[in-house]
Amino acid sequence: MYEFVQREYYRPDVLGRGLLRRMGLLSTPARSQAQVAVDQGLVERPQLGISAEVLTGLLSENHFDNIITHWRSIKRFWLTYTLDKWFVRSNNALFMVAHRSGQAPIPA
Amino acid sequence: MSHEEILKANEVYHDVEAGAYDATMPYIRNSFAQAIFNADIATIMGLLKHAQKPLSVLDCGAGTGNLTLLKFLALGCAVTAVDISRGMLERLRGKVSKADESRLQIVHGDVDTSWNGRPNGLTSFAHQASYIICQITWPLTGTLSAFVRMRE
Repeated sequence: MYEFVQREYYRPDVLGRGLLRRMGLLSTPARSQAQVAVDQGLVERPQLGISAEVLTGLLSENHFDNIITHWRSIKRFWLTYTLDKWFVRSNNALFMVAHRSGQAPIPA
Repeated sequence: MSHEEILKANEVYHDVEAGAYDATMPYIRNSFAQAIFNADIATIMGLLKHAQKPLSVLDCGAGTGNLTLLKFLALGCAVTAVDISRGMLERLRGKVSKADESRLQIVHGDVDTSWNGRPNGLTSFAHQASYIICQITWPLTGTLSAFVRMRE
């Protein structure tokens, strides 16, 4: 409810602008100078450069035997978080912990 | 946009943000998001505290060192901190205490996995570590952002 009120989702013009941006018909305001250089189409798929499966494979090759790695949603508000996690599924955070219980391999 | 360009954009973005990151990073300053991170950090620290010492940790995406400095070095670990942004790493270097310097190795690099066989921060330093930690948030909020950031 806090988020709903804070972001004024109840206003039709606000909701309309958001939908247009979502559909790509209205540009998203840039947050910083750096963001301008980024292709927003790729931002939709952050895991493009880092694959959890490949990471797991790399770690296994290095004798790590206890590996947890996955992409998931991290958002600032519970409503956004819930929508993102269960409906949109746009993961934007990588969590990984890997432990090697045995001897480290000798580097090539 | 190629993978190389994605990496460069990521580096530029973080270099620009580095100076104000600790003060303004919304994921740090926002209590809801931080609660999610705290659960992850508790999981990580639970594993480290019960692990056999001495520990060597590879912190991938170390940024300004909030995990490296406040958690891993404080626990007595030797840490290799890898980040794609030199600006972020300079902030980390400026925050580390003299007493902890000898246990900290700072590496400029990425953990991109899209080019098979290309050495990166993970593959080059994994052999040094007993634990590898990666907790990063893609800062350029994605799919839902255009919908929910209507007011920004």
